[in-house]
This record gives sequence, structure tokens and C-alpha cells, in this order.
Amino acid sequence: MTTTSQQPVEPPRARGEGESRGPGRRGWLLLAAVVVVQLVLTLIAVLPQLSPRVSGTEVMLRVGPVDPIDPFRGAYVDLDYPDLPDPAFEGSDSDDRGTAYVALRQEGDVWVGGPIQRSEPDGLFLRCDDSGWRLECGIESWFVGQSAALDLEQSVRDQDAIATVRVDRWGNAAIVDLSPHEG
Amino acid sequence: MSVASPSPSPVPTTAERHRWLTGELREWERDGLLTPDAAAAIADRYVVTAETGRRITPVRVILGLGAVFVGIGLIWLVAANVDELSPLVRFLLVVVLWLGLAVAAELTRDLVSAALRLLTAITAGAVVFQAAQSLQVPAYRPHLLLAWGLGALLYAYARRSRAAGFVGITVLAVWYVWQVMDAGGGIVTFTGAVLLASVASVSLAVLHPPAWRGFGRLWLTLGAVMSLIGVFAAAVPYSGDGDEWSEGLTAGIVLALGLAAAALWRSSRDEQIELGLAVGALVLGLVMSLWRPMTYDDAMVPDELSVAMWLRTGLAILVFLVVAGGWAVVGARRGLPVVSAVATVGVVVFTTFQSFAVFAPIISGATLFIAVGVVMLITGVVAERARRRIGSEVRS
Repeated sequence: MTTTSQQPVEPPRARGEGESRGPGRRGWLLLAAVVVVQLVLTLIAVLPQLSPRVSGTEVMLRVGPVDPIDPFRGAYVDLDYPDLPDPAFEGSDSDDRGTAYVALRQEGDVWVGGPIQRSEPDGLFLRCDDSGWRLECGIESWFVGQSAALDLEQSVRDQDAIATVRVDRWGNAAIVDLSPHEG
Repeated sequence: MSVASPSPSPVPTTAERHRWLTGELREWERDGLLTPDAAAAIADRYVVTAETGRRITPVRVILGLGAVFVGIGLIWLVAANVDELSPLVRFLLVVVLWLGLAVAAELTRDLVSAALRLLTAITAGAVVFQAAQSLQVPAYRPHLLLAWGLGALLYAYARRSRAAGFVGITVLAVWYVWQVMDAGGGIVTFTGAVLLASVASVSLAVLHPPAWRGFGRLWLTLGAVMSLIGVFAAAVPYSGDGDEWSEGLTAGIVLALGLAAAALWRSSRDEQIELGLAVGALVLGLVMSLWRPMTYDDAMVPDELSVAMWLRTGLAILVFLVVAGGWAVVGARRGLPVVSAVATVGVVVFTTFQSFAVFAPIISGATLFIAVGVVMLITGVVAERARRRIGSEVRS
């Protein structure tokens, strides 16, 4: 058998032949670095929702929920926001669609959105995307247990619900609570 | 044999085959058919590598399946959304479990370590999904798969785990197809993007140095699967709105062909065939995608079919059969039974799809199956006769 650079088969090693368990210091460091990078990737993936939770302003929005399932994350309540603009009625050209800004203003207990804008408005606003069939602002899903999702859906079927949303200064939004509308 | 040719690079083989060969060589040497030098020279032409030395044993299968089941169960547990624990506690539990598995994989050896690395790579997905669930990231976001796939792939290369690499590459492939479909650019964009990914994957497979050939085989498998999906989509005869060329496709072509050129620079003959197959599928797939004489409003009524429609439909079948046949041969030559199996299943699925979706109003599915089968049998018979003739010429 020749030697080769193609990972020749190593003979089976017996335990206790002076070998130390584990990959060695360099191996552990490499593993730690990989783990850190994986955690950073996870952080980047959830950053638009993490940032407003940490530094955002809290607003209340009216919602109308339905109840589907995400294969990786389970039952959730899919949320529609009647007080935010609907891209179908905004009349934007499909070429213009993409990042959409919605200024928020308070009306009574809840906040409502103005028309879709293409540049950052002053004050509190949502940074959304209207390239799809509906406006997506990162607050369209509320994940709860299966039974809780059903209960929630039934309790708000005939009335509005209120979503408590935190919005940061860049317009990122994260939903932090969902409850039936009192009154 | 007057001129000594440079010694070729050793041919990888399995330990079992190598044992058989060296045993036979000893016999021939004893019988005086070979000199000891000649026997040694022949033996030196073959080498047992780690990849070919890896055999599918029952223990490997059980450990692998166990890891996959536990991993899927963990992701399922995340999806169960256990309300009794707060979102932060759930996330921390999953992270601790993931880190524990990563450490355990380092402290164990061989098959157990490989299974734990596979499980660690899957559990990384549970970490991403739990984080997203805890922070109420909206449902059906493909970028979560991107985070999982990239992380798993990085872990796989860092720890040289092919099993983890399989997870990373599979997840990235699913993310890519999902992202492309999400972009909603029509079937031309979809076909082009998938076929470009195929060229890029095969090129990456070639660019892997010999010590990383196991990972190269994973990329080659992905390239073959993407190639089949792309040509399948290109064969669909109808077209609709949005089926136009996009700038993204142009950029993708530049990138993929750049990779292919770099791969070609350092490729062997077999690898050149693989690259040629992927690039050929890309070109033919794009041509068929752009040449769609039918719209969704057209019915496949034989009397209304133009010559162009007939030509296009026949060409689509021919292209798929050639590409699938090519990948089946690559799978057989490379010892990648998965590629051969996928290509074979692809032909069956493709023929069934064409029977029902396209040809149903023209000829029966049974007729199409028989026609395709006869073409393949004739091709096989011709190939077998050619192989025998070459063999007899070499012997003479």
C-alpha cells in the first residue's frame, strides 16, 4: 500500500496508548471560535427583533389574528394590522417596491400608520418591506403553544386584539405581547 | 514499452479490493507470471483512502439514524413551544445542550464522535429556531436556514466532519432554493439560479484539495441534484409573467463560470467531464427556459401544437435524459451511489410528470414510458457493445 495525501486509513488505535482525550488545545480553541461564529450568525439572524426589545419604544397596535403552523417553530398566530397601510391599495409600481417606511402616530390608546414612504420619516416609524403580497414589518407572527394559539384565536375571533410592539430608532420592530382588546 | 511513462496518481480503492489485489499479485508472483518489482509497481498504483475505506456498517447506520432522529426531535421540541418555560430559559437550555454535544463529540472517538458531530450540526438549527421563536421573528423566514447552514458548514470544516458537512450543505441548498422561489422571478430565474448553483457546487468539489476530497464529494452530489432539478424545471413547457432574464442571473453566470474556470485549471479528466456536464446542463437549461413557445393559456391539444412546440417538448425530454444519464454515469464512476440513485429516480419522476402534465392529451403515459424505456435500452445495448469492443481491442 502506498502512502498518499488522500487521508490513508489509520490503523485502529487502542485506548490508553499515551494519547490524551480530546482534540488538544488548538482543537478546543478552533471549536470555541466556531461556536462563537455560529452564535454570531444566530444573533445576526434575529437582530431586527432583538434590537427593538433592548432599545425600542413601546407602541400598541390593533391586530386581527389567524392560526397557522411553522414547520420549524410550531404554532403561531399570523397577524394582520388593520391600522397599517395595505400595499394593494397604495398603488406603488412593482419596480418601486421594496423597503417601505411607515410613520406611526398615536390615536387614543393605539398607534396607527401613515401611508407608505420610500425615505425615513421623522419621529417613530416602522421599516417594512412591501415587495410581497402584504406589508412585512417583522411583526407578523406571534409564536405560542398549540393550545394557547387556539385559545387566543377563539377569544379574539369576534373582537380586535392589541399587539404590544417595541420599535427602535431604525424602524426595526418586535412584538412583545398580544392580548384581546378590552372594550 | 520502450519509454517509461510518468507514474500516474494512485487510484483510490477500498481496503477489501486492495486486499484481494495484493493476494492475487502474490499468487502471480509465485507462479512466475510477474517479477517482484512488477507486482510492487502494480500494487503501488492503488491506494486505500479514508473515503473509500469508510464502509457502511450497521453500527454506522444506527448511530447516524439515532443522531438524525434525536436532532429532528430537538427541533420538533422547539416547535412544540413549551410554555411552562420562559423563552429565555428555553433558549439557554438549547444552547447548553448544543455546547454539551459539541464538547462530547470531541471527547469521544471514531463512529460515536462522528454521530455526535452530526447531532451537534443539527442541534445548531434548534439553537437558531429557538432564538427566532423566543424573539418572535416572523414565520417562514429563509434567512434562518442560511444562519443554520453556514454555521453547520463552518463547524463541519473546522472539525472535518463529513456528516456535519452533509447537514450544512443540505440546509444551504434548501435555503437557496427557498430564497430563489421567494424572490418570485419566474421560472427562468428559478431554472437559471438552480443550474448556476449546480455549476458552482461542482466547481467547488473540484477545487477541494485531495485531503478534503470527502467534502468535495458532498459538493459534487449537491451539484448533481441541483443540475437535475434545474433541467427538470427547464423542461416545463409553459411560461407566464415574470419569465424574463434578470441582472442577478448575469451576475450569477459570471460568478459560476469564474469558479468553473478556476476548477478547470486544476481538474483531472473525470472532473472535466463533471464540469462539462454541469455547464452543459446550464446552457441547455437556459436555452430551454428562454425558448417557451407555449403560455399557461395554451392547451396541449395535438391539432394546435406548432412545430416549435413539438421540437421544444422533444428536446426537453432528450436533454433531461442525457443529463440524468450523465450524472448516473458520474455516480457510478465516482463510487457515489446516491448520485446514480437520484438520477435514476429523477428519470422516473420526470417521465411520470411529462406523462401526466404534458403528454396526457397527446399520447398515453404508458406509451411515453415504453418509448423512454426503449430509448434507454437501445442506448445501454450500444454502450455495452462499445465497451466490449474496446475491451477486446485492449486485450488483443
